[in-house]
Amino acid sequence: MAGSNGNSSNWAMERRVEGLVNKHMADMALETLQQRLSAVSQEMNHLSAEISRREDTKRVEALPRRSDPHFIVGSLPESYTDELVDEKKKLMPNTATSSSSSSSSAETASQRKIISLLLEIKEEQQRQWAVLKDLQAMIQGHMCEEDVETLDIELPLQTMEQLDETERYLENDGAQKRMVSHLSRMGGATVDDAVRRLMQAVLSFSVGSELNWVGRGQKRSFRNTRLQGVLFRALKKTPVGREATHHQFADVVKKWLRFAPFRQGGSGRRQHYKPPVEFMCHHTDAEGCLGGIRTSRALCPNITESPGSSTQQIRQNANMAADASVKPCQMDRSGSFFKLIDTFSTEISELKQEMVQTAREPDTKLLQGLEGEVSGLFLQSSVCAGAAGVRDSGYDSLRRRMSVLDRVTHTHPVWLLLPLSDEEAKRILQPQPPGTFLVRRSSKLQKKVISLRMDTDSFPATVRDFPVTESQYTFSLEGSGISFADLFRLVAFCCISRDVLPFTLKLPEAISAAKTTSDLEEVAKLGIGFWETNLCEKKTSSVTDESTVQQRVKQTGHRTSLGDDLPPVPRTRSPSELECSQSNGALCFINPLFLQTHRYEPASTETVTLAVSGQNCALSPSSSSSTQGKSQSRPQSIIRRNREHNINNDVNTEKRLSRSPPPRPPPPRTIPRRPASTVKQKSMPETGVSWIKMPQEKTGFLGRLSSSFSSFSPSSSPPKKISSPIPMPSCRGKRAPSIPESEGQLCHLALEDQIIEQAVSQSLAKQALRNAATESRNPTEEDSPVGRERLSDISISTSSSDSLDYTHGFTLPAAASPSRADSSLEEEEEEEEDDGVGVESDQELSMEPPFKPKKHHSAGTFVLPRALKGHLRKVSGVFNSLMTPEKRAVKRIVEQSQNKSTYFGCLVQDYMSFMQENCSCHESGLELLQTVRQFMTQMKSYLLQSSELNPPIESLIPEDQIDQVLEKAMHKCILKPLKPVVETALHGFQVSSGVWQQLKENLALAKTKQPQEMGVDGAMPPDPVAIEKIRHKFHNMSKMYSPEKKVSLLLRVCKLIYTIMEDNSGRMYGADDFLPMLTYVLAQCDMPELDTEIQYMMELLDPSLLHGEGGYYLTSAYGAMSLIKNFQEEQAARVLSSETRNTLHQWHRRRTAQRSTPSVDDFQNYLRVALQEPDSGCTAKTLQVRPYATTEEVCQLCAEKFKVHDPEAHALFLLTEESTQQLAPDTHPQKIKAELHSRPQIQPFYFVYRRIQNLGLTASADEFNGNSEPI
Amino acid sequence: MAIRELKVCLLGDTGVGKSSIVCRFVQDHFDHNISPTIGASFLTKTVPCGNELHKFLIWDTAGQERFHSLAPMYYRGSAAAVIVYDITKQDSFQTLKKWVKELKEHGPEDIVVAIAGNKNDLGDIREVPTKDAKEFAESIAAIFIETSARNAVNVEELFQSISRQIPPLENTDVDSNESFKITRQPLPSSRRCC
Repeated sequence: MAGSNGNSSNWAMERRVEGLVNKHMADMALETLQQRLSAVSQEMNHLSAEISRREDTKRVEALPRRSDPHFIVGSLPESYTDELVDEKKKLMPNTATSSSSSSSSAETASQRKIISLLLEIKEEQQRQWAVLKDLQAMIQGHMCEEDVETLDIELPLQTMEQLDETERYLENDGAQKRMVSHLSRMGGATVDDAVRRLMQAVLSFSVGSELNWVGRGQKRSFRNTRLQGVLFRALKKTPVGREATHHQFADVVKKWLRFAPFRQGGSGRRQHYKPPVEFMCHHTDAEGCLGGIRTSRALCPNITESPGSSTQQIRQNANMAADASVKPCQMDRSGSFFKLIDTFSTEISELKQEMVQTAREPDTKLLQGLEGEVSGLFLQSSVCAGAAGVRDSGYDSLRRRMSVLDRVTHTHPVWLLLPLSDEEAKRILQPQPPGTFLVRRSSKLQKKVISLRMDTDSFPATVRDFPVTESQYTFSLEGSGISFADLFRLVAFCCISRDVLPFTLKLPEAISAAKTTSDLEEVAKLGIGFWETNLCEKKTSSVTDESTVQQRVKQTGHRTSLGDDLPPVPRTRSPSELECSQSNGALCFINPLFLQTHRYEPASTETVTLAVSGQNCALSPSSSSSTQGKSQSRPQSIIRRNREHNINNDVNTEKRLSRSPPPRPPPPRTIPRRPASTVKQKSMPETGVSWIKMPQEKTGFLGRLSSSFSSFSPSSSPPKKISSPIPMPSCRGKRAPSIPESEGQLCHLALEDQIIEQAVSQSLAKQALRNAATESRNPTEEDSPVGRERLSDISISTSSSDSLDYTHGFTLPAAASPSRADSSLEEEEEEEEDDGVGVESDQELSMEPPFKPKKHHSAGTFVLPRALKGHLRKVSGVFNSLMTPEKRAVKRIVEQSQNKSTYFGCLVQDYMSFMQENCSCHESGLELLQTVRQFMTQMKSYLLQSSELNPPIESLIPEDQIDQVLEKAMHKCILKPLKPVVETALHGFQVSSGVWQQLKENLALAKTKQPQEMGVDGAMPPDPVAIEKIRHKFHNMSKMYSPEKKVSLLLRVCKLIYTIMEDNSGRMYGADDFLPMLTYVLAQCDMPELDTEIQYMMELLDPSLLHGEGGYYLTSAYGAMSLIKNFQEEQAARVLSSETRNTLHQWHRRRTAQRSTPSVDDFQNYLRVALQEPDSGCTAKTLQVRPYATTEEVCQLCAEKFKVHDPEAHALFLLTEESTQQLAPDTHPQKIKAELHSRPQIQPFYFVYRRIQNLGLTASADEFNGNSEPI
Repeated sequence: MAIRELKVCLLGDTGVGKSSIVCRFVQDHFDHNISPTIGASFLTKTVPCGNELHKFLIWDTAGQERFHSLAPMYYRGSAAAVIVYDITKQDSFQTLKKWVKELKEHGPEDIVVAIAGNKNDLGDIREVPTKDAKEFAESIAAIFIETSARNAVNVEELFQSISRQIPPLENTDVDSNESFKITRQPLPSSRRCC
């Protein structure tokens, strides 16, 4: 029997393979169903004799046995019996023939015969169905008398108007009751199933997609409808739903609503999507069918083994299946139909489980073991509780909550030891196990380095330094292409992926095993002292762990390949892939630019799905069994297992690579029996260059997988549980758009087993096509359809596991397409909603935590492109993580400036209140601005030198950017609050000094002048419209508080002027033409307030910017304004008055002095030091001294440069007019210089390198003070 | 390679071709389509020099007499000043001398001065003999070169020689080897770092 069945399936498969090339998917699905039916019928043949024997008693027994009575059958036993008898009679001959033919040796002939017989059976069943339908009509007639008649609402609701109607209708209590009793007959094998049925019975998908639970965004709230209450009551009336909580109910409803748009098929979001490439699918489809056939084959023995109890059900199943295959199913009927199938499959799967369990067990254990290790190592825990192990959820979930990044960030005082010297680093790391690391600043390289304890066996040096390259706002390891926003992310990444390192960094056990943040803080408090404490001693144990892991990894790897001849997934080690394969939220930072550029990588998601399918096949026996499993988690369990496997695989591969330097190339991928993989192989090269980027989205996908995966683990439903096969609306819309709904459902049924595989293979095929398409397309072109398709792909492959939370999965693809902005917004709402709901209930809370950190970190990564595209989102959290490190640093400083408990905060706040009260005590506006500038400068250097910033700014911002960032922060925390005060004060000074009046008069005069009179020669002046535009820009400018932003607006004005000048002549204009034009424009604008604006900018702008373009045009504006201010005099004398000249010269002096003040970072990193020898006078040299160099270092430099033979007898002195001061070794000469320059009266001073007088005496600086006698 | 920003100030009478020289210098090597700057009065160009990169920030000034008083704002902080005159206009050479004088008096101390006699292509109507200019340049230890912005003659060289005059950073000490006596009077060196 089994053999013939196999043959027939082969034959069917062949047929299918060719048929698929040109036939529609739905046909295929139907055939698959037929396959199943035939298997069932054959079983029935087997059992028919027995059935007929027991028939009379059976009927009585079997019917009440059904846990939730099926009204079609239950209420009309008489006709049913008749029909059964009928059926039996018809079946009997078939049975005889089929069994005889199956025993014949002529395979093909027998196969054909069988098929024809099966077809006959089918016809029989169809006929029976016709009868049944009539009966049913009668039954329903009865029903209607009871409630349907009075239910004057047409369900499911097709429009929102109907929903409103229903709501009104339900205002009546009686109506509600009727509705409840009507709906309570919907049935369902589990609560989830029952709820879904209810939802489906009541709401069409189009209505469903207009609703969400809370009513966020544009959607309406379902929670607030009466209908919702009715549904819940109905649920409570169902046999399965008696115990259901409202939360459970709400949960399912939420999910149903969330996915409603995707199920909507042709009319929803996925409207534009049509499966274009069915013909590409034949391989995989055939494969899918094979899987299905295998399953049905596998069913046979089980059924034979349990003949008694299941016979009736099987018969019913057969009936129902046949019925479904031909007749449009209405909601209720399909419900019971599916239920039957469920029960049917339950029986089988129970047996199956017994068979598979033994085989699977070690596997699972291993996986879990591995996962355990992985979680220890990677500080993530995506372990599924699917296998026997009961997890300690308390601590584990806490532990899970902390990502590597968190750990790294919290404990930076331990490993981030910037001033550490080579020797100290070596000393600390020497006793540590390999992989231990420190981050410090190498004085040799003048760079930050990761000092890594090497494996002494394979590397000669115990400690090696890996320099960190800092570019504009990013940190990366030298030689690596991956950049990170800050040092923490870099380190966290290196803890997980070795990238260019010989192996991954290893956090000390005390850190990696810490369970709470306070633990970490404890550790962090120790700072460098940590390395001396016992805390870090523990580490040795983890070394042994490591080897165990490796062992396990090997085993698992071995196991995997045994599993179904599936070798580990091959990986080219693209660095970011490593990151992604972690599927952990810890490391979601990818350079935004990177992400932005490669947003639309077509291959990614499909490839991932594929990997899943590969795994699926690897686990084929077990997964197919679990497909027939018994609980709600059926689809989950498959996916989960796949996921588990997949993740593990990734980890395996990764680990093998990372653990064993140098990396071995992974074995080539050969998956026999899986055409899917063949397609993948084909497609990989097609994607060409871009596939390297693929893993990014993979991160998302895998991450999501694992996160939803881990989010399920606490609930830990044993994997072998049933679920009612959920109708697959998404698939319906896709595969059989033209087929009526019932047929679509039929498809689902048929595809039940294979749905995932097929979805996968389909998307695969699509991908192949797409790849071909993309190749010919312009690669830079934004490919929104791809994004869309991918969206649907995901929804297909995932909606089979309906209850999984894939919300996050959709966010990215949805975002990929600008035209879908609204839908992605909705998704985001849903996401939010999830959070909100999560807090509502304990159950969800317990499930959320492992999920949350991931989400938290990933948000930035995945939402980024959207934001970059200008789709601004309201989700503030998203923005939070969108912040550049620069912004974060600025934010932190600003926060600190408002916190009076810090010294910095005190200083700033005190200054603020002082300025606000005593603004007018300054002599002039200039002086006021200068003190502000000076204060900002001082605060900057304070922040740089003090350790108040935590974490140190050096870890967040590349060194060459620090000054800018601080400057920005200063603007924000000082200038922003002070701006109004300063402005008023400046204006006050102008008015009181008469400058305001004079300026106004002169402006009025200058405004009357023609361009020529202003010195404009040839170039076209701007017309009044343009002048108005410029005025507007100036207005905007005056609203800014940041001098830099003001300047950038000024630059825009200049650009505009230039454009006008050049557009009308076509030649380049230099300052000869521009300055007069600017003067003219300023006069035309007639804005006397510009004078103070310019003053504000000039005095407060970061001095380092004064040399650039901004500085140039600011200077020009200032000059033009000065000319206007003195316009009358100029007219009179044609030259600036000597007074003006003087002020300008003074200004020049002051600004030049000022300029060197603040920015010690200025390109003049020079220090002029004189060597004073008693006999030979002074030799001065200009040395390059970095701003942060200490006196000690300068002394060394001096000794070297001046070729001093006894450096210990020499020291650096600061000579001023009155005093000589020996500088302490830890002072910073450049700082001192800057400080001296910032004094109002600059006294001459010199740095002198000379012999310490009276060597015997310990001459203090004070004593030298008096001894100012120079040599 | 370290990038050093060098501010270069362009001085000279109006119409001698200051902007033309800069445009020639900057644009010969840049795509015309890429115009990151606002206008031709401020241009930048990076050139390699030894093991450094010199980024010239070129500040153009208005040559008209009425803007003369603004010049200090432009040349302050300059590493170099290019004073341009027109070889066909004696007047412009006189203005140049005034500029040199002003720079010596008020300009940054170690400013590298380069004298460029522009419009070399109009040699037949030359008013300023090369010899005079060269002698003058030598007397003030300035770079001297005759250029033609129109024909792109010596423009590159002009800036190259400026580059060479800028003390290299990489070699930590600028060995001026000048000796001075520390006295109570303010020394010139005290102002140089401003």
